[in-house]
Amino acid sequence: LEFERKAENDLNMSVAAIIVNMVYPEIFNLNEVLAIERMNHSKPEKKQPVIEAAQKQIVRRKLQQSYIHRLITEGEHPVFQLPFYYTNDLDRAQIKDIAKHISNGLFKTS
Amino acid sequence: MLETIFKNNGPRIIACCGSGGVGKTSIAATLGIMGALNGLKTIVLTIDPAKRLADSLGIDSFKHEIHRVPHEKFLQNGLKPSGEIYAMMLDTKRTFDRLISRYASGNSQKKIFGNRYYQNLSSTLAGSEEYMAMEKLYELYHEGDYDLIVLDTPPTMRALDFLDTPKRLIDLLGHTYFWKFFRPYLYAGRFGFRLFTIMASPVLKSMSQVTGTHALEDIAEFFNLWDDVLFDGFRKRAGEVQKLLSSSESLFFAVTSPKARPIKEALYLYEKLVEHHIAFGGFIINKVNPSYDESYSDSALLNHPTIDKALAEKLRKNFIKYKKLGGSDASAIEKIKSKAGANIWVSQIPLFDSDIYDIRGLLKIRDHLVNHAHNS
Repeated sequence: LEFERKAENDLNMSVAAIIVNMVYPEIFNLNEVLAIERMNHSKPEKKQPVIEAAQKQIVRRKLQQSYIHRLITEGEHPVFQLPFYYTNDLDRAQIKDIAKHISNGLFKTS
Repeated sequence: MLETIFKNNGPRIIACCGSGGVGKTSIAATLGIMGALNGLKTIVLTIDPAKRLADSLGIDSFKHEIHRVPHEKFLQNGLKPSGEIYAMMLDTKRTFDRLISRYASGNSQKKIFGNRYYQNLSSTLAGSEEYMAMEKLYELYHEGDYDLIVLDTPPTMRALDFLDTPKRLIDLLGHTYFWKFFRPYLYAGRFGFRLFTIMASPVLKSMSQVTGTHALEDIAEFFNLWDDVLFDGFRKRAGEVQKLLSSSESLFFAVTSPKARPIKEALYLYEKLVEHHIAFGGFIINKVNPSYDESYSDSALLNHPTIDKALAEKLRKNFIKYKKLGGSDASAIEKIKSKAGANIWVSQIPLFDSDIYDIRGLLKIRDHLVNHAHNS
């Protein structure tokens, strides 16, 4: 947000869009989130890794979405998102997919 | 490792090096807090902290002044540090000016400060930020006001650039292509870089049509002053700074995330530090995803009759992704361990599910550093 403001106001540069990289996808809907919460509370002493991973996914996505929401509401330019691929090293297919997302996003904004 | 560095005979300088985005500032701030909790008067010198972290350390509103992190911030977290912690954000230009003042006096100093090329160069020249970080470090060290100085190094393209900066900056100023090529003309114009000098070189003449003769005059004046007044002082100072960094007073940590590129950088940094006989504290691997036991089976849970089949499938697929992430991070950490050898301290900080931006968050990092130190 600071860059967006400074680029235009101080540097006279135009910003086409804000690209948010590595966005966690929505995997669980609201009912499923609640069900996972219940599963976790039923045996809190024995946390199941599968539930722990689901909670990480839910919490990380929620945190990211709060920032993306801020970018959308406070920013002055289109915001588009690139997915998180759950890997440390992107392969060719994933890079192609990112390229597709970027061109789709820029095409929409132009 | 960590138990000893905060003792009285421990290093007085701790530098956190690494690629951009790995969390160097948070780690540096945490080490600073640990210093204060161990009774040391500590200062954290940082370059460009994330806004919320700066706010929580109280350095944002004070900008480039040294500021004490209020004692209340520790009390709020149930801590009573026997030491003190200060924070400061580096002001590259001001530090550069102070360095100029040290080596140039009177009319030369006035000319340099008034030179438009210098005014631009002092804050924008690549490497000046790194050089000035080291200069400030050296200055703080010799003032002797602090028991421990923790340096959060600038996010360089390559972690090692930080070490090479004094030499690179001096080489750049002393031996640029520009300088070598135009030196004869600049010297010819030593007592006034005027039109006749410009006209003697077709290239300078063309350049002057773009930049104007004043810009070339400024450049010529600066390089003449650099050569006459500053070069020896800067070179000597750079040597002293590097001597300090390679002394037993300094300890370097390589901060990395478990991603391929930062790890490659961290390993390269480690090799170079060893090569230069600089004390290496260890690797701090930040933002690590948890590893899951391969033998764990989710079948009992996910095949339970009470669980919705669609949800079970999503949980299974999600778990596979997180297992892959954890596995990938674990392999990266193994790579560091195998390359560095068993004697090198390697610490892991998890990727937290919330942002780290205040003392409470930094204490979470501290807990992992301490626990890891005890376990290793």
